[in-house]
Amino acid sequence: MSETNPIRVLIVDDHAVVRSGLSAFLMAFEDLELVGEAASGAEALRLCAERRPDVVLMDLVMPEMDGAAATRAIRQAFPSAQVIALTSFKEEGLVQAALQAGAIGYLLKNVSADELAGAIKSARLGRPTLSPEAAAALIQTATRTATPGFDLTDREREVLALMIEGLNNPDIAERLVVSRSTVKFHVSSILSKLGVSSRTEAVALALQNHLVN
Amino acid sequence: MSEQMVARDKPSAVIATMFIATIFGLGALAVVAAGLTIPIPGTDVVTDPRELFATIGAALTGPIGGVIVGILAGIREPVVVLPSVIAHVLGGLWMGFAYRLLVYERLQTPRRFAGWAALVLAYYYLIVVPGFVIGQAITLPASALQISALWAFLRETYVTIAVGATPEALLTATVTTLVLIAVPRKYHRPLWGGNGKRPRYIAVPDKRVERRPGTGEAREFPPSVYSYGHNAEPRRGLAAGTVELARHIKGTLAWRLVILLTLMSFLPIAVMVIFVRHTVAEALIALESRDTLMQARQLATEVPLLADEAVIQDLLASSSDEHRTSFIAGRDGQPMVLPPNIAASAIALASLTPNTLRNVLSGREGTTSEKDSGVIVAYSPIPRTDAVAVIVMDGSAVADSIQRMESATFVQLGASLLIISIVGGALIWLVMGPIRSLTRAAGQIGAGNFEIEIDPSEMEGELAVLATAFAGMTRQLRESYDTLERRVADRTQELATLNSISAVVSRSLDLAEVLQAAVDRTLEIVNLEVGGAYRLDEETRSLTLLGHRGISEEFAQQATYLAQEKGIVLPGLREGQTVVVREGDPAFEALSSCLERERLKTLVAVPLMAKGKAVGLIVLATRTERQLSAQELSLLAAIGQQVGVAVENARLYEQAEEAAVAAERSRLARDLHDAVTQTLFSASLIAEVLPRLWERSPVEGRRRLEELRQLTRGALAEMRSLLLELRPSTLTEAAPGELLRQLAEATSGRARVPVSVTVEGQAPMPPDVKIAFYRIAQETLNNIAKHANASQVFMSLNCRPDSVELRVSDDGRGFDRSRVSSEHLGLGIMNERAEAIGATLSITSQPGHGTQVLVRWTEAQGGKANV
Repeated sequence: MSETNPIRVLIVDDHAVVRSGLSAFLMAFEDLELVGEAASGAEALRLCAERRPDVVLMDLVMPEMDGAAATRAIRQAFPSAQVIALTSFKEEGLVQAALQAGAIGYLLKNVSADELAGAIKSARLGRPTLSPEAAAALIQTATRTATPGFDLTDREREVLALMIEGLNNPDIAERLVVSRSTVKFHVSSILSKLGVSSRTEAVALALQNHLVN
Repeated sequence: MSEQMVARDKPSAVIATMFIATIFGLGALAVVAAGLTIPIPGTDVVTDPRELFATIGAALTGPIGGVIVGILAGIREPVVVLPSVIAHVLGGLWMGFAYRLLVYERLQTPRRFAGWAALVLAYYYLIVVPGFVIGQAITLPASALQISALWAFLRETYVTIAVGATPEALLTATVTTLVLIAVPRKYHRPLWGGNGKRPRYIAVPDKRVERRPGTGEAREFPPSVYSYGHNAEPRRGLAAGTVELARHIKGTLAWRLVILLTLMSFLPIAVMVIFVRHTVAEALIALESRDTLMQARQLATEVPLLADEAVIQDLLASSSDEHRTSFIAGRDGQPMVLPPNIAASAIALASLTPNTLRNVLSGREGTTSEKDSGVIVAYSPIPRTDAVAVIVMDGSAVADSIQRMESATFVQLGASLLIISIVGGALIWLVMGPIRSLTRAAGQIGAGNFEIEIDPSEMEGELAVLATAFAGMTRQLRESYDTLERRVADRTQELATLNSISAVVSRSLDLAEVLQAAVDRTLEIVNLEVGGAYRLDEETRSLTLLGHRGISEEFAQQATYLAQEKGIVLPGLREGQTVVVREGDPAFEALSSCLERERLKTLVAVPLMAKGKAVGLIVLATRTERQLSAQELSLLAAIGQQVGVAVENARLYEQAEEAAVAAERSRLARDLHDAVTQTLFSASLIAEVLPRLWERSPVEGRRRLEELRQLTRGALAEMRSLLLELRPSTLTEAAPGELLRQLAEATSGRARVPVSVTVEGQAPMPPDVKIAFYRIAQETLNNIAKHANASQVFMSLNCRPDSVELRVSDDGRGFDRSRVSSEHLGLGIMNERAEAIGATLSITSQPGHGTQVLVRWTEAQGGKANV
């Protein structure tokens, strides 16, 4: 493989210790070449322009410009550079944000050297790599039943918000300037859409799932 | 009677007033018609009491009423009707207006009486007399109307009438003033003019300051009694004393009764005088007439025997004297024979009334008395002639004797009047004595002096009943007043106690301190010697001893345990009730083994309540038999409420503090965890690729191996720090140098920066200072690791007995202090930590020249900060 050009890799991480460890890792693989180290998203963007890396190992939680934003910017400015998110967090939101920003891989900081090397090479070829945890998070997102209450109408959300405030039907009717029977209709509709049997459950569910603002 | 009739615009009231005026006017008219004239003693003046009715009637009923009264009073004047009516109408108007406007509304008694007297005198001299004079001038013939003559006439008439009326004016003024004094003040109000204008009284509150016997403490009473008067200042001197006496006397019921008695005795006397006078006069006239008739008859029988005229003349002369004239009259009514030296013209046969003359010439004998002139004529026809023997006697003879009699009668009556007044007054004074003492007592009580005693045995009849009831009321008043005072004192004491408890327990937010203070203070208040205070754990419902007094801690713990085991205190706690356990109670027996050791006799468990829930318990005990009053128990319950709130406060404070500590700890733990993860990731990567690296370049391999060693050491140090966060007690136990070295290793492992640590001195430092220094060092190193990009860090700690100094400096990129707010880089938290222990924190930095952090704590500063 020595005849092919080594893959140019840029390391982005706010922890010096991680940068140091990654540099040692890159040094151990002949087909990988460290072209730069950045401690923040902004610095990464600058180094991208300067060094034109093939693959960027991107930490996500960083001061100043965070990983997702940096990934988006890099993918826009330099579409040829692939970004692999390398982080210690496996939260669903972060995974989604990184992938939506254009990252081709999502790896956790428990990844082995070989796996990381493989992921970098795959990325160079445009093939995605997900750590099992990230994949699990994505699968969970995809398979989870739709959040209840997404089919509430605006008016029903309004009524639900007043229910959360602790108002009873007559109060809600007065506030919304509608008749009590209308309010009653809305409330029973809300209960059935949320699949609950009481106002209290409805309110609890609404608060858990942030159904109203 | 006045109250309903005063409204100005009510026709019914006006009619009623007119009616009353008419009654007064008719009274005056009746006086005149009945001839109730009273000769004023020692004068020739005859007066009548109609002006009594006229003045009072007009004053009461106002100007219109006055006109009615005036017309009725003046209409029956024997000779001069028009002047009399004019004079009385003017007088009625005057009294009607002047009484209300000048006297009633402006003067308060006793000045009002003087005002009234002046009003009456003015009535006479300024109104009625001039009225008469003017009335007479009007009736003068036109020829007399020359200015100078008229003036002289007016002046003379005025003087004559005024002088004549003086006694009457004085009498009327006196009597009417007495009436005014005698009637109650509410009847002074005129019936006209409405209610609108109230008398202009000035209310002067009687403020009373009394000194308590014994303490001499001054007490000011509220103005419970108001008196009316113009004298806000107390008067001084003899004159003032007299006025005060008069004021006192006129206000007493006895005085009024005396005046009324005198007035009432006056009226029958006056009536009697007039009737007696009439009767006596008639009797005298009858006597005189019979006497004269005998003489006339004698004359008539003797005259025919005497032929000689001269002899007849002598006879006539002998039967004449200075008051009587005897003569012989002829058929034609002319004198035929006269006594010598009396001219025919002097015989005023012509002055006799035609009626008398007819009687004389009727040929019968008889007497006629003429009312107007007082002349008595006796006549007897001389037999066998046409002549009549006539004796004419002028009225002065009778009048003189009547007058003498009247004078005597008046003196006697006056004397008896005086005696009646004096004796009657004295009697009334005696009878009223008990009432006076009752009144005095009532006055004293009204002024707030309940110590006054009344002896009902001194009184009899209704007064005894009144006095007994009064004495009973006084006693009840005194008792309820005393009770009230005692209750107020108790309540004040209670409030003061609660206040002091509240002050004591709110001094601290430390639960143990609060409860110890509460126990100490409560024992002092209820005067018991043993006590313990407990906190109640909300979940486990178990009690924790936090303060005690009078017993050993061991015993208190043991007793607590026992009491909980036997389930004695908890029910009381649930109910929020104060529980008293005495010797003999089942609860006492259950604890007896324990209680007897300390010889405790009575236990009181007071729950500490906050928001309706028990948060703790104070148990008080005594080694002597002791009954707690209901009041003491309620006070204890109140103390329980008060202390409960303080306990709840302390608990909330503790909770808040714990929450804050927990939040910060978990933040640090998260940070550390994060950091350890990075370090271990890095270390594992290096370890994994190390064989390959070594193959490619042994030098590089060796370098990476050294790095790996540092990383693992750093991770270890970080793990230790993490443990420190999770178990903070180890933080205070560890040596400060050790802590800093651990921090340094963790940082150099994580940030790839060598951190050198020097520690001087071994002096121990207070735990809170140590923790603060540790945290500041930690935050500083965190900042260096994250931001400084330094290649070298120096950290030095200097521990002296009275001061501690920490320096951390790096050669990193530094920052511009003016562009970094205190929220950034944790600078705010570092400052707060330094301030909390009273240390000074200084951070110096310049971009490109690294950062120096210096923390310095000295004993004095620390001491000050702890106060």
